[in-house]
Amino acid sequence: MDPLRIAIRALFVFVILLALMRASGKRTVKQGSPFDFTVALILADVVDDALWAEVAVSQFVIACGTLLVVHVLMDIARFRFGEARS
Amino acid sequence: MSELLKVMLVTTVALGVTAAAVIYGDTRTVVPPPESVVEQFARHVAARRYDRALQHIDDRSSITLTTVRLGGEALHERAGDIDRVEGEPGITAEDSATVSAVLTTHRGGRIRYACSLERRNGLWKIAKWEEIR
Repeated sequence: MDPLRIAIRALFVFVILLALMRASGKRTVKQGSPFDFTVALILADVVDDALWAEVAVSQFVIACGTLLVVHVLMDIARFRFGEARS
Repeated sequence: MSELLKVMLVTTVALGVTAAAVIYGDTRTVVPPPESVVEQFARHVAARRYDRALQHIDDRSSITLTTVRLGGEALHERAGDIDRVEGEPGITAEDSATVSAVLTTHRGGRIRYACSLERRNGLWKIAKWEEIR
């Protein structure tokens, strides 16, 4: 496989993942919960497929975006449900 | 809620960038290159995951799940276990490519899957598949 294309793909995947993680509001590992850990495990596997061109980058973006949207929605639900309880 | 909008915005922008790359002619970077598609196809056949192998086949081709399954089972019967699968770059034009994958088998030595691919909606799909011993 062409090393330059691997590098471009790796950079693209890194930038997208970083942008998505920052946009989702996560800042440090210390802030992590079990939900964060679960999402991190799934994202790691998705990154592997994109890096080695086993899936299209667009499919990688859709998978990561969907996971993080669901993750953010769960955070919002936990916060609001927790507020309603207290 | 702002985090939700930011994630959706980043996702949309990233999709736009990849779509632009494909529209402007990228055939190997943001989409799996032809040799990767053929290698994935051969790996799925080697693992007897014929339904997964079918996802790499062009819908307009005459290759069906039955074709893939029969070919895969015949290969396993004749050559035994498959030790290694490796895609080889071949000839790539704008919307068509001819590449192959080499399967190293236990009993049958090296077997080559020669494939012709067409680009459909930006992705490479296998239109013809031939086993060469």
